[in-house]
Amino acid sequence: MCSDVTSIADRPGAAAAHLHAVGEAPKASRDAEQPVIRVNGLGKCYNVYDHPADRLKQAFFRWKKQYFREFWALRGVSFEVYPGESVGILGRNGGGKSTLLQLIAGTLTPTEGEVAVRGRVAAMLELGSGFNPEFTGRENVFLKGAILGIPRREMEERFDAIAAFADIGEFLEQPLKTYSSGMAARLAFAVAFSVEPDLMIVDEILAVGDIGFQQHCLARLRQLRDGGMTLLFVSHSPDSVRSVCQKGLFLDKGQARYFGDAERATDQYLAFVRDQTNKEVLEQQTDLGKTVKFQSQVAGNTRYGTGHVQIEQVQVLNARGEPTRAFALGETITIEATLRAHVAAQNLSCSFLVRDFTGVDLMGTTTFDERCPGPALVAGQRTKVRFSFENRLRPGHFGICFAVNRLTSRDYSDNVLFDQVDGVAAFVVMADPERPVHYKFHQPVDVRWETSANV
Amino acid sequence: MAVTAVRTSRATPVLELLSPIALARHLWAHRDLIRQFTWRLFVSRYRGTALGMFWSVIFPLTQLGVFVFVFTNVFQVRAWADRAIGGPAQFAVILFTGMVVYAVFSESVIRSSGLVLENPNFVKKVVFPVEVLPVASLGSSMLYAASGLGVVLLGALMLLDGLSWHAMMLPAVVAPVILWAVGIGWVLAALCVFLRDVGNIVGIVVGQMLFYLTPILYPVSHLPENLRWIAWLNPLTSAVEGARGVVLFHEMPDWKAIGLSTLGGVVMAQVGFAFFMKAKRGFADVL
Repeated sequence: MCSDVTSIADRPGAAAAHLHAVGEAPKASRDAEQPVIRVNGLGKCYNVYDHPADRLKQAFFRWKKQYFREFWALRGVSFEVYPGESVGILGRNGGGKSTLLQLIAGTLTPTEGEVAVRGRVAAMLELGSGFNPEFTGRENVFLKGAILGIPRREMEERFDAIAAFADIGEFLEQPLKTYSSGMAARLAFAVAFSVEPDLMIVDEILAVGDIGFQQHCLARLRQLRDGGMTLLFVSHSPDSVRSVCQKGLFLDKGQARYFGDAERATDQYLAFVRDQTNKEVLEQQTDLGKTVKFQSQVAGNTRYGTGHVQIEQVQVLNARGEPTRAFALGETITIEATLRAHVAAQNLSCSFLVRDFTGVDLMGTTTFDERCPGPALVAGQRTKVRFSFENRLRPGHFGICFAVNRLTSRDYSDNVLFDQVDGVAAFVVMADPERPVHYKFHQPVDVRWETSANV
Repeated sequence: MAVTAVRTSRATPVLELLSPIALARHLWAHRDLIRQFTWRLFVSRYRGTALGMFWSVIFPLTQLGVFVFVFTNVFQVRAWADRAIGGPAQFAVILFTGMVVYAVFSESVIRSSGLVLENPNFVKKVVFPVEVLPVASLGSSMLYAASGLGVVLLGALMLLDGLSWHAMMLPAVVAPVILWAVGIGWVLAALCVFLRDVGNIVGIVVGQMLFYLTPILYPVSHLPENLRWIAWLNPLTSAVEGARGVVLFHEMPDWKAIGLSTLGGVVMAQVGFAFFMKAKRGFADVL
């Protein structure tokens, strides 16, 4: 256990995470506000024993030798979260997400570093967690209240609201073990929302409720967040992280790879996952050889891929083929990319993706799915590909991600990603007060009135 | 919320864990949980049984029946013969008084030792003050003993020569048992998490050996003079002897012995609590 600051800084890995972490928050404006979560050089180490007997040997002969291997589930993680912020935590299985959440929730004790949490915490780490399966739903509600230190009378006042939100009827009087996972989630959220937590920790359990309940929960989450509640959210879906959170934390092998803007965090995470997949595919498909360094300079937030074929330029063109930034509804938008092969390559597939300013992926397609295969290229050869579509998007700013792959199988199993650039180009759709677009798209719609002749 | 509590992962300083005021405050803050779990532990033993709470009387009474039979018919030992107490029914009331006091301790300690181990959810899935569980275990064994006490009082009224004001001293007499029970309960509950064998050892030592080593089936005066000091090392001795004295024999208890035992009990409870709180930080890693 290390508690003083100097010893934290001495540890390997701590400095690297600091780099991304604390520095990015605009400090000056927040001096008055205390962080809800302060994580400082946090690490959790497990002792792994090869044989059960080694555990006993370690207990009795600890001075002789070490019988275990150290496994750091989390190390050198530092960041701060302020009231009202929502942070999405991303990472592959075993990345350290759950360990971090448990350390913050207080169910695990850190091996090194420190975590401090201000205020009331509602942690939903696992389905039915914090509930006793033998107790009835009603008993569990009061148990949960007692654990959080809420007087019984106060819980009785809140009970009707909890029952109404959970909406599980007669089951409230049944033991929790008889509940379906959806019902347990309903009760868990109902209780968590009712206690007005300062910090809510949600570990991907929203997914079990039905759509209606999810909408219900998300609305309430936003409402509480706007009221100053801090949200910590773990998800495997970058989309839901982007739509719910402003900030993102990307963990890999127990280290913080990135902490900051949610969109950048999810992009980094996706880039990382694709890189990993690429590596695996490349090991099987030996014809391509080693990866090629990116030689072309393109704009964009993140770039990843093997580099065998590279994107040299991506432009947004109008109907006359001129580079354009702004479009009206119904105009034709053309996305033109120049590619260059660095090895002989065939079965190319190009794809684009249009993303709105909130980070939601709206539309896109691939030449493969459009049944428009690319030409076979020799090393050094260039090619251009154009995607044209009629603009149906609502007014706003849009970003483009572009990618080039090699692909022959319909199930994408032999997909090799050569080059992908997120945010490589952008365009604006102008508002037309005469023709407003509701929601995200405007589809041509056929309208007909039929009025009866008689009164 | 008026005050925003800050929870850090730092360990509570040992000095704070050893403060009786902090301990009392801690338990008071969780009184609602202690109440809920005391009742749960108490009720859970009989839930679903046809006879329900009658079992809390039936079980010790059958045990008592066996002892009375063995000691009056087989061994023909007349403990408390000096009290000029006649038949087996009177003898039974005397035995039972000791058994009730002993049961408060043994039930609570044996139950406590497995409590954390049996409730890994409360350690791993939620921030729960597991230290209340041994307290609740003590509470439930005291509820359990309450029905036994009812039988004792009834026996004293009907079979012996009634009750006197001495019986009012009973709470003070059994206070050390309660303190020792919760203190040892905390230690064993924590140890059991790391070494499961502890549960079996407790079953043998507390469940069997201690029963015969405590003067329940015999008065201390029946022990050979040179062995009596061993009996007085047992924190239950003064309480068992004292309880029989104040309820059945209208005597003043041995205040010196009870005072010492209470003092030891306070230390035990405090040290047990500190030990549990220290060990608690490692629970989630091994459960």
